[in-house]
Amino acid sequence: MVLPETGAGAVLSRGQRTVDQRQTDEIRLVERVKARDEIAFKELVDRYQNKVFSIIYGILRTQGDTEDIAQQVFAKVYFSINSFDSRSSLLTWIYKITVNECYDYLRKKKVRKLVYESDFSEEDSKRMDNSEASADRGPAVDTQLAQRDLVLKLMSKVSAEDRNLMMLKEVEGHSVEELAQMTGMNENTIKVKLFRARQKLVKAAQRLMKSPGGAPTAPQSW
Amino acid sequence: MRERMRNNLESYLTGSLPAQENEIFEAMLASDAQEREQLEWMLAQSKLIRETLRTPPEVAAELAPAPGFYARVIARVEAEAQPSFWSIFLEPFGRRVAYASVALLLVMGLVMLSTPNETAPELAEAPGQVLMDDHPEVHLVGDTADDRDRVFVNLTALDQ
Repeated sequence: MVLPETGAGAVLSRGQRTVDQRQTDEIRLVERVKARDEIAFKELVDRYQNKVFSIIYGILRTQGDTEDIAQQVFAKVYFSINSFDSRSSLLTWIYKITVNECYDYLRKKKVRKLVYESDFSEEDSKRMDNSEASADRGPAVDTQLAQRDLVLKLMSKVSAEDRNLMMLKEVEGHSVEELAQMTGMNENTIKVKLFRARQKLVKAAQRLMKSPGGAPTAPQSW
Repeated sequence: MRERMRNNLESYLTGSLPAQENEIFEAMLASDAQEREQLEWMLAQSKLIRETLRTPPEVAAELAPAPGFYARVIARVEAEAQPSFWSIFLEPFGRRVAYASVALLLVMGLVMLSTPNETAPELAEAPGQVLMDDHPEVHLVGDTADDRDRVFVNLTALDQ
């Protein structure tokens, strides 16, 4: 016999139903893409293309190769969809592919060592031209580029899984609870993984920023 | 201490740690300079990652792909789906052919290894050797001119 749900239980249940409904929709969509249903694949691309573009731009800050990388991401999604087991959310899986593609791109282009002028966005170039005017409004463009270079270097020092977790936490702003739900791991595992990733990042930063005298530069100076 | 740090770190970094827990956490940090320094680095990194890699919402709104993006994705998928020469061996038929070839080579190798070596047939005696055996006084030494002279002398002696 099933008892009727009342009060907080009912609210929780409604919330749970929404999550379940979303998961069911997602699973159905994935099953259709696995069956090579082109309409389903178009639906998937339409649903996630803006997110993918945003992630790529966040990492590279250049629109030049964004579309090329996004195309590669969706091609990978198409060919690897059979390996997606629905333990994590589809967005988390696509997010992981996108971040990995960006790092592959950076590895190939080796832009992490040097910042080339071709990587400047138009906005960066304009701000560079008016750097004197913008000096009192925030960090200079070259400082921003150096900071981005440092962050990308640091993030390449941790595993792809740790990098994704860090990005989902810091860049996307998800809580530990949400990450647990998105990845299918439990909250303690997420906390341990994030803590270890942060420790690795600190060690990498201390190594990178060690001054010739031997003492690491204080993080406040970033 | 390490466990408390690990369990509360994420909430502390986002400022969502309850007041009482926050006090305990900060007291713990005050008593351990090493942990405090590590946390300072973590705080600075957290801020740096957020500021550097987060796409501002106003920029994100302008990042929509150009028209025809899906068509270009499909074109790429089709281009990457073109079979290469090596992909033949991944097909079921190609795989079977490859396995059969390897099996055949193995069988041939085993047959060759298991066949006993027969002794080489003896060479037929050359007529010159037979002639010389009949006339042991002729000894070839390897010098052609000398050998010829010896043969003439022997023949002359035979005639006489």
